[in-house]
Amino acid sequence: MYRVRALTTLTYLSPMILGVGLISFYPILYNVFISVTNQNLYHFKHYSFIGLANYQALLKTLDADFFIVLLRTVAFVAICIPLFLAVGMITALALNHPAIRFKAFWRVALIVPWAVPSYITALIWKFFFNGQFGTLNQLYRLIAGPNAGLPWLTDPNWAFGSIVLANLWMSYPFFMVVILGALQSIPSELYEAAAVDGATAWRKFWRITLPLLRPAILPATVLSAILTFNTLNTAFLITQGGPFTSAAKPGATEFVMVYAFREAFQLFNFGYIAAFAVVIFMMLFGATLGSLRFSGLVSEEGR
Amino acid sequence: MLALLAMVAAACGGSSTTSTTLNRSGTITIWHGYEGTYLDSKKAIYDAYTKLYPNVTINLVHKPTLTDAVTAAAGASQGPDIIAWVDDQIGKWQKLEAIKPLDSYVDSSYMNAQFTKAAVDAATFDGKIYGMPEAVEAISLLYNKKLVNVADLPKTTDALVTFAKNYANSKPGNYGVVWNPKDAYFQAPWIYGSGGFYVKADGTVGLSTAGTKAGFNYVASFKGSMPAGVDYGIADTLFKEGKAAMIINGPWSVADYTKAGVDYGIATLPMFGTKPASPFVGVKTLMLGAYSTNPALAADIMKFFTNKENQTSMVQTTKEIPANKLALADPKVQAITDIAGFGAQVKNGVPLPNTPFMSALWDPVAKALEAVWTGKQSVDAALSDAQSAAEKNVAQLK
Repeated sequence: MYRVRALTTLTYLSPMILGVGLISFYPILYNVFISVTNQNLYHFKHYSFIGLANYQALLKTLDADFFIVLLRTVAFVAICIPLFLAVGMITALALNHPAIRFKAFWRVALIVPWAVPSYITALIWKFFFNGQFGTLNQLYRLIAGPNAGLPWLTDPNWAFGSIVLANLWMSYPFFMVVILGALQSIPSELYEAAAVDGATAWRKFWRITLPLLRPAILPATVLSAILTFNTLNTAFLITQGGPFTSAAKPGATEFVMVYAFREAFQLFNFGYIAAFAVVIFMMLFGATLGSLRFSGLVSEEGR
Repeated sequence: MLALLAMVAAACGGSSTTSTTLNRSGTITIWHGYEGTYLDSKKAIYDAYTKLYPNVTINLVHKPTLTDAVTAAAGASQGPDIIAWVDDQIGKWQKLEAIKPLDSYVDSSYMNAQFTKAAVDAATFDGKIYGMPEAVEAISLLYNKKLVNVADLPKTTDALVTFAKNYANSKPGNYGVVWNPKDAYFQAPWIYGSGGFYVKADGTVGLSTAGTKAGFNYVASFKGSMPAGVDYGIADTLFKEGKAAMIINGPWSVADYTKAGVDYGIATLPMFGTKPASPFVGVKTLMLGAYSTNPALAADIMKFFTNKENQTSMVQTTKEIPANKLALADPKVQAITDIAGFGAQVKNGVPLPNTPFMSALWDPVAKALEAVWTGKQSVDAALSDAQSAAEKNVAQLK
């Protein structure tokens, strides 16, 4: 009886197991395998086992590309996520406010950045940021004189900020939608009761709105942090990882995925970049597990 | 017209070693990057072939990122029958096993009889023939006839700097000469013209040589005479709008300049003392895909495409310099001013390196140029960093 049940269960699950195995586990294992070989342009089909040499090259010194790229990416995530949250929260609260008219219009207008394919948005921002002909500098010249110009993409720090800005534009609607959905599920009786008790709007937000939004915001934040960590489109299309201040150092917006793309498909260092991917994967996996446990989501769902 | 084509095919078939046994049927897939009028005039030749041999189907597939597509396909042991691209990829694709030699279908005597020496060299790698050359291209100095007199064209590199400075000073918002100063391909005339080089076939990197430094210093001397953020697109737009008197660009650009109403002339790049500036000469080449199941038919199509008659008629619209020397010698081809103009520049050029090591150089050179152009590094510091980065890349490829 029990055997039959297990078999039935397995049969029902098999399409999913097969699918996950093929599209998820096989590529990961293959990547781990490539990371201990010398596969590159010169050894494309006839590569050989070289042990942990790729990992050694990767982590050998503290000023290696790996640490520069990693720290810069972590900083990028740490700056982007609070901004996503803040702008998403403000727009959602505004949309949910009874005093706002033409809600349907605003809702669509604010979601548009999310609906436009990201590469198109990225190319539009690239034009906005252009030093000479870009919209932003043309506007700036109206105030600051005909020869002025801000180094949107040519100064390393400005370029970093520009990518944050473009990324914020593309990502805040996700938070807005998540928060708006959660806001509408908060019973209005809670606010009425609070009003009876004489609570201010500020107090209502901190004591009612925010705690009740938490279960919706946390998984969205984890998901968005991972997506932001893996940013490729925005940075690559706008700056190609630049500006570059030296040929020997990664560019100012050369985040993890941009670096991986350049190494793999412009320099064909497949073995090296596979090792890079394994290390990054383990770090992300650890960070995700940690944040889920910390936020109590795993145990809540386990109950 | 059909009768003529049939005669051409017969003449072509006669010289082919495999024509007696070749069964002309099947499907041939061609990956290419042709666009606009280029595509139309090239498609016409393939259409003529399928009209002659109705059992043959030719699929022309446009690949916007062709080099990436070929790399990805090679990894999966797949690919088209013919790849139409530039010869600089031959070394890399041979290593990736994306293309295979044509030696069973053509011999060197046929190649030497049909094509210019530079084109045959470009299609040859490690002593084997990897493609049939189509057209030759190199960047040159284009000028707007309304803005510059022929007599005022700078003949030396110093005169070009002076011209650019004076022009930019006398007409604010306008520029004497523009090009993309942050790209390795566009700086080759200065680097190779002043005796420097990027990389040799054995992997020797030449970025810290005195010649390369001189070339970099020359590029840097145009700071202030070109827009700070200039790139390929901006240079192109400035020339089209008449805001730049001259541009350094290649044969692919002129059709657009005609369309934009620019009355342009083609001059050769200036001299570094007694040595001419030497642009890279690239050869558009049809290559045989490594996974072609019908290589004999693919080779036959390549021969048909690159023969004298088809190339002579094709370049009437594309204005490309044919690699087929019989077509190039044809008076109808010589009469095309664009071909004569770019042809003169090609004579001063150096072959676009087809060693796979070149793929390790584009990136560091571009970064060093950017660091110099934006003033973040001195020429010496930028080139020393680029030399070590390129050497590291080359070592990884070995």
